[in-house]
Amino acid sequence: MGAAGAVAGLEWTDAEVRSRTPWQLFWERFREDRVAMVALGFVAFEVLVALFAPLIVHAFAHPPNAQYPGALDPVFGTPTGPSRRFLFGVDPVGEDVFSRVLFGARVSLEVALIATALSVTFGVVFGMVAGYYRGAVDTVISRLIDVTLAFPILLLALGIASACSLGGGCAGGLIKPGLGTVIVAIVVINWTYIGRVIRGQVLSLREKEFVEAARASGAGDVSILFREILPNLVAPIVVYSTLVIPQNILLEAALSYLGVGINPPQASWGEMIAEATPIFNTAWWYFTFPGAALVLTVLAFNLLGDGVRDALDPRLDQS
Amino acid sequence: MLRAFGAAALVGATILVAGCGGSSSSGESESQTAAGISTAPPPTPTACETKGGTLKILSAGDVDHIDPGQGYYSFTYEITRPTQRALLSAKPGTVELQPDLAAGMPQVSKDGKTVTVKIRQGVHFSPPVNREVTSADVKYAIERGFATSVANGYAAAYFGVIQGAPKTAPQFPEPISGIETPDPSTLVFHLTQPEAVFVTALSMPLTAPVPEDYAKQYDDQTLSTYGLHQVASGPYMIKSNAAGSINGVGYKPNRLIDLVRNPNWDSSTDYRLACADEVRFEEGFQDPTVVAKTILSGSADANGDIPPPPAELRSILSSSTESKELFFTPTGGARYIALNTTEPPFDNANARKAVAYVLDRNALRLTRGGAVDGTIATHFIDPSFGDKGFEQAGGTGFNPFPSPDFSGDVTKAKELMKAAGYADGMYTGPQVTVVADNVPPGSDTAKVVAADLAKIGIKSRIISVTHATMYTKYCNVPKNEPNICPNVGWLPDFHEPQAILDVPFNGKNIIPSNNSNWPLLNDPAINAAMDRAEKTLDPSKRYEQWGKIDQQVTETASAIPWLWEDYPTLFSSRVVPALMVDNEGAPDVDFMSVR
Repeated sequence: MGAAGAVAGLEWTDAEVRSRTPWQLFWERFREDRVAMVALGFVAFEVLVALFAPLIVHAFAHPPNAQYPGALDPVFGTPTGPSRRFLFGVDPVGEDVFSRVLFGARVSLEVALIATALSVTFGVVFGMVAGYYRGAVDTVISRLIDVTLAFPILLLALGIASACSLGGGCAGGLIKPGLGTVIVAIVVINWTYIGRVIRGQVLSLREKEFVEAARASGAGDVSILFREILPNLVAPIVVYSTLVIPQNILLEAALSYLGVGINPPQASWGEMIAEATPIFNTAWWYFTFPGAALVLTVLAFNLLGDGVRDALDPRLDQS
Repeated sequence: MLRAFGAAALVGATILVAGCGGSSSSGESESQTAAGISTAPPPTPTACETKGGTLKILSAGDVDHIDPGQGYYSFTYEITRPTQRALLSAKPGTVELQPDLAAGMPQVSKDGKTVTVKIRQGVHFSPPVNREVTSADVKYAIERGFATSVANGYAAAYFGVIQGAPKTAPQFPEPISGIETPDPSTLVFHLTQPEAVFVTALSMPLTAPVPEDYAKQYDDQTLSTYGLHQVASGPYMIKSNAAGSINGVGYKPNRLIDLVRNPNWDSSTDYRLACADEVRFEEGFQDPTVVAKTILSGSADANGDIPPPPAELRSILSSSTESKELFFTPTGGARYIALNTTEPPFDNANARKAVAYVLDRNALRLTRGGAVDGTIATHFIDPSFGDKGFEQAGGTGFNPFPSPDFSGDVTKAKELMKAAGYADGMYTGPQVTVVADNVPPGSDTAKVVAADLAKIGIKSRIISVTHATMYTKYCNVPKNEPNICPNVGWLPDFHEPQAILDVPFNGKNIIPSNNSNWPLLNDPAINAAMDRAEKTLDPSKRYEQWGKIDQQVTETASAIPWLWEDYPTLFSSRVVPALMVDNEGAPDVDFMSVR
């Protein structure tokens, strides 16, 4: 981020603390936010747990897709609750809920990272192009964003996901059912938000003196976009990304809950919650543990996002 | 396992569950169940405890068709039985047939090609028709079944053997020359060839009388509206207005079917008791737990098409205070995993047999409930058939793919995979496709299948769709047939083994859509044996033949049966319970009475 910092310095640093980079400044502000630090700690913990899920499960539990019919009631087939052998109980086919919650974390984080990265990339590129070139290009991209946003999010995602979740997938087999479909559905919808924010920022940035100076010294459009404007967009991009992660986790859970998300037998919190809801009376553990994992994860990412925004936006801090 | 079946060969046995259910976790299913569940047939009421009152039955969905000549669904029969009198129907509490509208059992000629039925006298239609039922009304009822305006689902299968029966369906009802009515109380069927199950098929609701003079105006429409103007011959009729319309009066689709007394019914002509004055079938209850609790509280009297879920069964059976009026009835049908025999890898018999060995049938049963849900199936003819084919197929002793506790035999499966050409017994080909339900318990069944297949290296891709889509788009369409259909099953129309094996396994029944031969099994030897058995009139010879066919079909491993299912019916304590044992244990409102 060295290059970015040098230019961004014009915007972010003030005369007395010139010796600190904007990221040092950010970190100092962020470190003082206790809630955000706890959230960061939880997210870090979760990432570790997800990364080492196979090892943890190997040591303390059972493979996530292994079925233990012996753990079901032999007369009624109902699952049994938390025990020494199955820390979080078992589900209706005798799978270890503990292992599945751990592996579900992998799915949630994968979706969170990949879908967020992709939607931010598309959003930034289209937003910059629209804001910089204005005119016809802007009209086309902005109307596309308006139209996409006019669809109810969940219904659009549901439509895309269910169209791609049957047979060999959609787009000529390019998009396979399962994780890929979920990510595509999320990206198609979510790039629009950041696209719109970025376009607004670029509209004002392109009129700034340093852009004019660059243009006067003969810099091309690409160079201006990426060397002059993009570094100034780092703050909104970071803020927006952290805020969109929990949304994406929830959207994946919702799609899996509705049966068009992650393919069985892969574990997904949304799918577990969907299966657990009708039998909550008899198997509270099946609903409670994935539900708690989902709530805590989303909460942690939300708080983390808030903290990042506060630390990056001095104006907000002053008011 | 409900052992009473094999030993006692109870035909249409219903299991009364009393005492406490199994305790929690682990242990061997056989002993648990034997200890927890005792079996006893439910007493069939011989007189009404009280006369009058209202019975209330709760269900999730509606009838498939309100027209008795169209209905082809067990819940629909709950309404058809008390309102319409077919020629024959089941003796209460059994699956044995007895004359209903017929005055006696049908007389079959020596060559099996002429069947004569006498019609009971003194049976009258409900208003606005009011007149006495004659043999011509039965003739018309069967004829209309062939018309596309009525589109009965089984007319061609069971009555197509009548001389002059249309080969291609006419738009509107047309006379069939092979059905004669020499006098108002006599009906003669002339058949083109002997047909073993013809007499049994006279118990289907299509043989309930329909008055041509009244019904013709409704049947001569593109889609008959006779259902909405139907007249009854049984003790009850669907509540109607003066013009005879039930639409919005006694029939509100997906909400209510309201039965009231048929004023023209004469109890001396009928075996039905008909104790209550009114029977309300209330529909639209989607949550089985709510339905069970409503019945237990006495606000409703029985479950119509929505059985109590396993968890609810457990709480009822383990509670010492709650009503124990819970009955389990064999549906007569088997659930099975169908393997597509026309495509690799399951065009190879050894690969199929490997699957039959590797499947954990105990785990499969646990996905729908445990032992309380039925007996683990080892072939197709259900134990409730007793000496009508079940014993002949070897009873519970016939199990060509055995494993300890039915939990699968991986070693044996790998041997068979080797025999199928896979070097170290592990599958190496492409993923197999599985089309399954997207909700439990069907989705759980698919998960168990996928986990078991993985033990012999078979990776599966599960396509999750609704149960209806699974059938209509995939498993019923041979060109879209996946490698595995794990959520299929077949319920017989009546207690003849032909009704279990013929449609789902005879190669001649493979059709391009709406196909029910899911494994696409087309084995010349099996086809020929079935065609022979269809024409065998002597019952003991016929059951012997079907028993053999059952074994042959099972040994192909083209479909792997895993559950002979029982259906739970729960009654409130305010009523005397009664069941249609021949119809999956549905509540029999003809014999229930308010206490």
